[in-house]
Amino acid sequence: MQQLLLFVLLGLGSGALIAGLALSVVLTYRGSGIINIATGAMAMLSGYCYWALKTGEIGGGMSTAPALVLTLVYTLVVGALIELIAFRPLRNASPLAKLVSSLGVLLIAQASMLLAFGTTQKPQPPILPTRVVHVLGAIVPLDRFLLAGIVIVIALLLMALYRWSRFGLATRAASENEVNAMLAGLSANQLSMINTLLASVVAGSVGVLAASITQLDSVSLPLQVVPALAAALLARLTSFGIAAAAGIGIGIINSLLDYFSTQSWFPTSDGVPLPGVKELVAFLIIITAMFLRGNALPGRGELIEQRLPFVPRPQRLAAPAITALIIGAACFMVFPFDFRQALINTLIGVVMALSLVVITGFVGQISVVQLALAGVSGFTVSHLAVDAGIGFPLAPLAGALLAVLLGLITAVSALRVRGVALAVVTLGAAVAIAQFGFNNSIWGGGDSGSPVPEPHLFGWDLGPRSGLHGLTEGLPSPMFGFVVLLVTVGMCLLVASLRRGDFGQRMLAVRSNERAAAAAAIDVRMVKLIAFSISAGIAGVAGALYAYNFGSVSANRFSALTALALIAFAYAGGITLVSGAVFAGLISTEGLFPHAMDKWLGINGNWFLLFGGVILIFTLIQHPEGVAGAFYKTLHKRRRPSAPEVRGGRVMAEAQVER
Amino acid sequence: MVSQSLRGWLGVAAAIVVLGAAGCGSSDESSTTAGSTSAPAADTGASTTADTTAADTTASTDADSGGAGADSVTDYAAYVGGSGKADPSKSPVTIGWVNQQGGQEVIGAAATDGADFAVKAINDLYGGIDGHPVVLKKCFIKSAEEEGTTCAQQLGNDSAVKVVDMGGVATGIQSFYSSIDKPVITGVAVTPVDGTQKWGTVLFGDAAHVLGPMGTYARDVLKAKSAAMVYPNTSGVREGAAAITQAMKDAGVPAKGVGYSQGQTDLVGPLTAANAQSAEMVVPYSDASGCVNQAKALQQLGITDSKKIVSAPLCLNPDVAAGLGGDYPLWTYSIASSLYGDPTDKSMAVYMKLADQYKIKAAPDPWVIVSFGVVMSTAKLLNEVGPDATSDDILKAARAFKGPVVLGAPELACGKYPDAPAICNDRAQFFTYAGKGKFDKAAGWLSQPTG
Repeated sequence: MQQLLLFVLLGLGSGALIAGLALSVVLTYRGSGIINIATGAMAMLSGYCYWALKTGEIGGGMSTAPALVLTLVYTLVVGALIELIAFRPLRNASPLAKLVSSLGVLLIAQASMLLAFGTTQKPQPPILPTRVVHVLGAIVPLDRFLLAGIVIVIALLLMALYRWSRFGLATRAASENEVNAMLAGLSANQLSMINTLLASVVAGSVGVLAASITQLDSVSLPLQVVPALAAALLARLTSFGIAAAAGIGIGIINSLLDYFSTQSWFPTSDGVPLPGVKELVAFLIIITAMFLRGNALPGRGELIEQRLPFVPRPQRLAAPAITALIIGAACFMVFPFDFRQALINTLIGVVMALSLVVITGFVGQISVVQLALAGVSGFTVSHLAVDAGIGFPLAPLAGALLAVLLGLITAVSALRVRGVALAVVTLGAAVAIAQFGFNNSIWGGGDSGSPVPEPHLFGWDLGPRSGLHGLTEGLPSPMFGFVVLLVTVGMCLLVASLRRGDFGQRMLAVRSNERAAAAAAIDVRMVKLIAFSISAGIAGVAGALYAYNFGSVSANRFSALTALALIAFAYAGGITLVSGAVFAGLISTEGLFPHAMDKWLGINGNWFLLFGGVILIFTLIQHPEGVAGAFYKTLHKRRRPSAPEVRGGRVMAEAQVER
Repeated sequence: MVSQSLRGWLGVAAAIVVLGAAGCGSSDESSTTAGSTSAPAADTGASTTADTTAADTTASTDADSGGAGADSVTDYAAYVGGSGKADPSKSPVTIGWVNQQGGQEVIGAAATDGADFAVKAINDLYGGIDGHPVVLKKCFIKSAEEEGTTCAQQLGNDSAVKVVDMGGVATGIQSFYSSIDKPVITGVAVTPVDGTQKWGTVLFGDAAHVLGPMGTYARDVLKAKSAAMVYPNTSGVREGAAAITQAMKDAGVPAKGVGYSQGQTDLVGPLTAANAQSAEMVVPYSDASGCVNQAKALQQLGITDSKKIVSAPLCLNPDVAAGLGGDYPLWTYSIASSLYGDPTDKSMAVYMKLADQYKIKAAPDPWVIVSFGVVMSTAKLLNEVGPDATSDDILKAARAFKGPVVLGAPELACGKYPDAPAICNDRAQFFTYAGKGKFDKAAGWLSQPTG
């Protein structure tokens, strides 16, 4: 019991850090309705500022007080800039657009610090006392208690502010109903700005005060947003008290799991404690809490969220498909090897983005787990080939099926959780799958990695090493390009057909209004389950293609942060359109666009990260419907409206372009 | 509502601010750019101490034979197999070079400097390859798995490249090996993937094999009765932790290990759970990205005995030193290569003189030492098989190489481990870091304990 109590106390430090960031997440959400993925990055920026001022990296080196004051000013300026540039213009956009915008802020913050100060970790000077105390027979640093105390005080102050002050009441009113609040003379923009500034100060304070329990670099603090989002979600993104308690609770649970991992009953793998258990437990807690607290349908009084961009009905399928096949095949034959590879990466990126078009674009479910499902398929392909000698095409089929199975399990949570809450839950699922699944040497990547042999069919090598050469020799073979092209066009046709069919209409009905869809006798649950299955299946196909492309499977390729970036670029491309998926593929990792930027302009690595973040935010502001959506609008403005279609005895008017 | 045009201007202003901040900062990237062999002292290994230069870095020992002992390579020209300047009129011999740099995570920031340093020396002093000058064709993996494939294809599709040398690479390592059919010679393998590869040769060893001697060190040198270990649960590191756990078991030293999540910041809990506060040996094991947090937590708990804290050389990284205020953690390190400044290592004396001659400020960095050794050994192998040898010939020669390696182990045994045929070394030396660039030898070359 004494040991348990000790580890409860030892969890206070990291718990306080998570709690502080969770408070900032709640503040931003209450003010502007944005789930700010960049909260940890904002803490990081303040940490860098304080370090630079204190150590003389900027200026001549300052004492603590002026450095803190200037850091506060800097934090406020950063908060104001983020509000004005990234948040305010998207005030009326969909929740996903806002989330993606904050991801753009995260990319810019990380890239700018990497470019300015390099990858080197910085020695951030501690502010809190560095003394230790002896508790329950062990040494515990005093600053853990102090940090926890400070965060609790901040939470209490915020609770009081929002409960009893006029500003707090105004913010609550605006977050409930912005229009009514404006009619009552409240400025939603002003309220949003003040809340974002408060959120910046809270996050910045954590970034400066937590120096002794974290390291100052471009990754450590930004990553803390994942548990902070979980804590904020448990607080329904509104309660400061619950957010703080949940954050500290997550820290304590992690600490207790550290202790449990040394016990003889704890499962092991290769002689060391089984990895990923913490992430799995955290996910199970979140999903259980959300499932119990969620509803099968949104409540009558619940805020109706802004919808996603329009979903035009594809008019022609055969002609674009045949054209794509001919042009694609020709490109594979004439391109030099590096652009051949970039085209393959692009096409696989298209398939991956199509998975998001179905689940997010058509059904409105923000799922971050799709890339992890692709990983499940990839690892299945590898294990079946290496351990059971099962190769193409059975292995990728099995991989896709397993992805569908896991997709269905995810869908169960989506039956009672929706919107941005689902995004956070599926983010937790993605982290758990990556840590517990992919990092495990038994069912994930082993010591020697996860090799994937070439796909063969009827004695033909269909992989990157096939003997077929294009005009220029060298890997990858155009043969693998043809296979990927065929699969990609097939997937595009599948998704476009889905949108044109009856089920597509039902998906859009669910996306528009679940209550209305249910009232119209649409089985909302069934639609979601089927949509998740189809989407997971497409992700599974993409995962198998990744595996054959790399000749191996690596856990890093399917990480949660990569998944967030995928969603961001899929949204920027146009998440409701097949052509949007094509745009997303073009800008996917080592796709045609990044490769050309690298080869011809020398923009790569951290510069591309910065460039990507800036472009992302500008695309969202200028074209909230994505590049493909804007392209579609421009194209169709010039065309005469087509005649109504007659299909199945029913008139399907052009007006079915959903908004 | 901000108007469209105002939004545009605000955006442009923000971009300028961001780009300005990025451009005006003191980027550390410059020290890792290709071809740069004049990295500032502040970025380079032991010289990162506030008032310490490369020349100040020293190691002391009671042992008679440092480095590879009597087998130490002292005549680099004879080792490579030539002398004098390479003939610039002859066609160059191209060696591929891959390193992870330019992205969010850099493992061997200075590894490319070491490779460049070796190429300069080979072309100026050791006669190139049969008189042909050596050139490096470089490819860098920044942050994506796809870049492993890209690098493999760039080097694999170039018929001029017969062999590829590798620095510190973790990201994209699997896809790289999957797409290349040429010999790849690595110094220190960061992941366990390299050791299993058909085309791989790992001259200095990988974590899973060179960390085993920690068990011997615990039993024979420290006489420890208990050990504690903390490590991040990430791919590559966990396999090394498993190797240390097994080595402790084989050595009969009870050990508790706690793996923490990659994003976990406060490590006081994991250290306490592993009983680090009372253990007689503490192993903080991580790649460079986790060393600062481990060092801070140990410091906070008052665990400061540099002899009983034993770690891998991945923490001897300029990033780590910078993160701790300018110096490496004061621990003991298990190192599979020579150490800069070791006065008993005759091979190191030659290297230091050469580094002085070429003004290589990054010379003390362990990655520079290892990369230098790898390229020198590759040149030796190419001279043995001839510049027109096939990739198969080079692989055979590499696998048959028995050592000694310049600045490495006195003898090699490639293929000793059937499950990791590319691993050529499983021994390590131990040095205790006393601060300000000073290392004391704690133990000479030790092998794994037998179970």
